[in-house]
Amino acid sequence: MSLPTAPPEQRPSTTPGGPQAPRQLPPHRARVSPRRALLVASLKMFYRNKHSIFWTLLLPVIILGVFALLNLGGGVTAQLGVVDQVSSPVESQSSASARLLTVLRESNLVSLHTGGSLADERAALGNGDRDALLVIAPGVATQQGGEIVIGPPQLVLTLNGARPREAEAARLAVNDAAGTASALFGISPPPLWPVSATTVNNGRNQGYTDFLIPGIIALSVMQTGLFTVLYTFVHLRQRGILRRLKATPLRAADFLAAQVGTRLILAAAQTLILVLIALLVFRVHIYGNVGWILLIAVLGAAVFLALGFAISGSTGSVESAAPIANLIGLPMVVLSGVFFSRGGMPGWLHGITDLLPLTYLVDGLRHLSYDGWGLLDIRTDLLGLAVWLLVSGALAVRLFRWELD
Amino acid sequence: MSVGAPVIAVEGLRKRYGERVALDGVSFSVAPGEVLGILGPNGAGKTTTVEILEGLRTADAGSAQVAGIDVLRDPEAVKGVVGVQLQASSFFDQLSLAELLELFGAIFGVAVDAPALLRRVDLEDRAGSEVRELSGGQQQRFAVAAALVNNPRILFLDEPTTGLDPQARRHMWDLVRSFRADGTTIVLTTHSMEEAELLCDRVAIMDAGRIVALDRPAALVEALLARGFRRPQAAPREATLEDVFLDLCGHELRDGDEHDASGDAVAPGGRRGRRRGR
Repeated sequence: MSLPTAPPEQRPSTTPGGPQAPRQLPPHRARVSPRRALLVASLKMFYRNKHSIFWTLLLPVIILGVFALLNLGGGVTAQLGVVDQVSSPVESQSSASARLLTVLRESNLVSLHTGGSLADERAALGNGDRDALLVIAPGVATQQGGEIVIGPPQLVLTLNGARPREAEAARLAVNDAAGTASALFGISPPPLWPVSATTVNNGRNQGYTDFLIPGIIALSVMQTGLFTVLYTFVHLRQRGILRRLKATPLRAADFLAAQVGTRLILAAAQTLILVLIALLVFRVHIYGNVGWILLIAVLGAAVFLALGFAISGSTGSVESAAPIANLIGLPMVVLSGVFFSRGGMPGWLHGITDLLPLTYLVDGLRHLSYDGWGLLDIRTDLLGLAVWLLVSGALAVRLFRWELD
Repeated sequence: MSVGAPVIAVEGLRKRYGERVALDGVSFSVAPGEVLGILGPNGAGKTTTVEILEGLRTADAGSAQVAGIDVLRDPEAVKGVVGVQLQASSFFDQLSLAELLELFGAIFGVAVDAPALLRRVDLEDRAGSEVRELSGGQQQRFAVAAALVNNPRILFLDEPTTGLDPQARRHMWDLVRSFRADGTTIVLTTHSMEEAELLCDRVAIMDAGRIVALDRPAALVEALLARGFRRPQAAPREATLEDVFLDLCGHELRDGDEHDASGDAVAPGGRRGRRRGR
C-alpha cells in the first residue's frame, strides 16, 4: 500500500540540492503529480476511516432497510373514489359491481367515496383529495356466433402518483376485492377484472420502496457533500493539518481539486452501491437510465460540496460544525420529500420547497428512477441544480479559508 | 562569526495582529551552515518571525530574504526550498508514516525514499504506524523527517523539544547536531536555555517583538558577567537534578516501544507532547 511513484526515467526535476555535503536523503527524484497523490491518499484515508464508511454507505442502507421493513406503505388508508357506471340493464353486472363495493368497504386499506360524478372525482384526484379513482365501466359487447355477449365490467383505476404509498394501497385493495368478489360468485372466468391501473404520472407496479430509493440516494449524496466536507475541513484545520500543508508549495487549487474529486468519486460509488442494493436486496424497480441517475447524483454532490466548503470557511470547531450542518441539512430532509411526497404541503410551502437544492436532486432522481423519465424531462431539476452549483461555488470560493485567524 | 553571504537576511520586520504589535522591527542574518537559536518568553514573536520566513505569514513592513528569495514578495517560492517543522500542527490520520512522507514528496514534486528518511530520524521500525500512534518525541522526529523530504538547505525548527522527556530531547539534539554537521542552516526556537547553549552558534533573545540580544551564547554570558552580575548561589553545584534523573533512568530513548502507548508508567516525564492533542 504505497503511493504511486513516477517511473525513474522521469527524473530529474527541480533539485535544490545545494552545495552542502551529501546526505542519506532521497537519492532518486522524479516528478510526481501532487494532485494525483492527494486524490489517491484521500481515497485511501476514506477507505480506512470506519466512521466515514458508516456515515456514507452503511447508514443510508440502514435507513432504507428500516423504512422498507416498517413498510410504511402498509399502514395507510387510501382515499378511493368510486364511480359506478354500470347501470341496471344487465342484472348480473350490476350486482357484481355492488358485490365488489361491499368487499372493498371491508378492506382497511381504503376508505370509499361513492356517489360523486366522474368529473367531481377526477377533480378530487387532481387536487389530492383522492389517492386513487376507480371507474367501473360497463362490459364491452362482442358478437360471438351471432349472439351478443356482454363482457365483464371494466375496472379502470387511476392512481395519484404524488401519493405513491396510498395509491399502492388502493391498487392492492382493488385487485384483492376483484379477486374475492369474482371468487364468491363462483364464476369462471372471473367476470370482474381491473383492466387498467394508470397513475397520473405513470402506471407501474411500484411500492413505497421504489419511491423511497431516489430519496435515500439524494440524502446520501447530500451527506457526502455537505457533512463530510464540513467535518473533514474543520477537523483538518483544527488539528493544524492544513497549516502543515500550507507550509509546502502545494497549491490550494490542487488540494481542493483532490478533495472535490475524491468526494465526487465517492458520491458516484455510493449511488451505484445503493442502486445495486435496491435492485438486488429490496427488489426495487428502477425504470430510468442508471447512467443518468449517476450523473445527476454527481451534480447534486458538487452542489453540496460547494455548500460544505462555503460553510466550513466560517466554522471554527467540530463542535460548532454539527449544529450548522444540521441547521441546513435537517430542514431539507424534511421539506424536500426525501421520505414522503411533498404532495400534502400547503401551496405556499410547496412553492418555497420547490427551490431547495435537495428538492431538485430528489425530484430529478425520482423522475428518473421512479417515473422512468428521460434526461430532457428533468431539465428543470438539472437547471435548478446548475444554478445552485454556480451560487454555492461562488460562495465557496469567497468564503473558504485554510486557517481561521 | 559568519562566512560568506547570509542565507537569511531580515531587516526591520514589523507585524501587527489588530492592536497587538507582534514584531516591532526585527533584524538579523544567518550565515550558511549556522544554527541560530531564537529564545524568548511566549508571545515574544519567535513563531511569528519564523512563520514569516517560512512564507506562512505576511509582514506589515521590513524585508526578508531566504536563500535569495524575497519572502515577502514571493512567499510560495520559499516553501519549496526550506524544510519546516511547525508548532501546533499535525499530519493526516489513516496514512502510515511512509505514505505520509511519499505524499509530502509528491507535493514537492519528488519521489522520496521513505525508509531512508525514517531511518534518519530513528523511526524506521514505525514506517507502517500512523502519527497518532506515536509518542510525543516520535511525533516531533517524524515532523522533522517530513521537513526533509525536499532535501532542504535551510531548516526551521519551531520548539522541536517542547514537551519531550529528557531522553527524547537529547535524541532530538543529536539529530540537530547531525544536520549541522551536514552543513544545513538551521533556525531553531526554544524555551530551553540549555538547548540553546548546546546547539546554537548564536542566539537571538526576543522580547515584546524585538531582538534584545544577539550573539554567541558564551559571549552573552561574558557580557552579563562583565556588567557585574553574580549568581546568588555562591557554590555552584557539580550536578543538576536532570543529571540525577538521567543517571537513574539512563539515556536511551523510551518511546520506541509500541506496548506502552496507553500509559505513562514506563517513561517518566512529559513524553506526551502537547501536539498529541486533538
